[in-house]
Amino acid sequence: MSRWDEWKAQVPANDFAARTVTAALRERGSKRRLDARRWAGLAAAAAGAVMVAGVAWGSWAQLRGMSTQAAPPAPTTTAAPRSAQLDPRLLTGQEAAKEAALAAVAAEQRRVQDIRTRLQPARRVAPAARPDAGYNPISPHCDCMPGDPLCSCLGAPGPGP
Amino acid sequence: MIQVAAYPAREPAPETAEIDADTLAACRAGDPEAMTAFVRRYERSVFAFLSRALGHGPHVEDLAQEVFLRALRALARFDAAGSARASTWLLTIASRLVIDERRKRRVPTEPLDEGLAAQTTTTPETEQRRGEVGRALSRAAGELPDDQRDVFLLTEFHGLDASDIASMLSIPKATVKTRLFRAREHLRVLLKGILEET
Repeated sequence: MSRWDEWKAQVPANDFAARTVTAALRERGSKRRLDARRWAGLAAAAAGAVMVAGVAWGSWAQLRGMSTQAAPPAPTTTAAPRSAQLDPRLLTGQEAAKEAALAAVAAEQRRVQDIRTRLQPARRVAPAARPDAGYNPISPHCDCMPGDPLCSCLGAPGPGP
Repeated sequence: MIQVAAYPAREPAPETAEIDADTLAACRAGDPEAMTAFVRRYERSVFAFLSRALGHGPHVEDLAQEVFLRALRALARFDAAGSARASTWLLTIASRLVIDERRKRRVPTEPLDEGLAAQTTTTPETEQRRGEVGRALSRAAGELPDDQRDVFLLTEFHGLDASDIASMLSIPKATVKTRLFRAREHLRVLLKGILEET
């Protein structure tokens, strides 16, 4: 026995263990109820998240399909609009609008091409410019009288009147 | 260890024996009998540490109950097959609670409560002498700084070594040794007369 053992410790009451276990079991029960409530909340939140994700995915897929269809075809094509090749009864409203837009673009491209074609021959027939193009020569004015001995503009002086 | 006359209702289990793995597993499963056995096995040790660290009083029982509630809550994480013993684990929880309690409020350390003091006055001369020694020891330990007192209690009364205490209190082993050395020196000075007489 150590001399320190004279220092008495406080001893537990007889029912301490029973009270402690009761408290622990009560705590476990309330925790279990809380856990069940928490799991129910989590399940509801998960179901909601799945629904929202489904709606978002559906919307995204629809928008993606629209953007793929609306991508412009090769810009240099001058072929007839597809609306002329497809049965109009098979086209939906969106496809019809798209075909109309494509037809308008093709018509504009044809009009521009026509104008270019008309302008090109005129440029080809234009005469080549001469070296003195735009030069205006000045002819000397002659006031000499026939037979004027001092005149130099009419050639050699004549014998005079 | 201390033989406490005020607690004769049942035969205490040997202090050195740890609780068996089956009882621990039943505790995890929520078996009330196993939980009661677990609490009964370690309640004296927890009460001893708490009452010596914080002084006697009703707060000891409150804190002891909190120790066991925390332990039963965290029992699923306790590895019975590991190196840690259940008694050391419980004392770790208790020592952390003691530190928290001291931070929250300054707990006055009572050398001995009036009941124990009264018991000693009616005993024969030897018992009276032992009671005086106990009170002197309690008073002297109460003058120790908190950190030194915890290390001293865990070493002297609970048989833990420096490594265990270092991991319990999250301090280096050398610090444990230093605190223990200083606590013993301090007590030796304070109890010089008492120890010479005994």
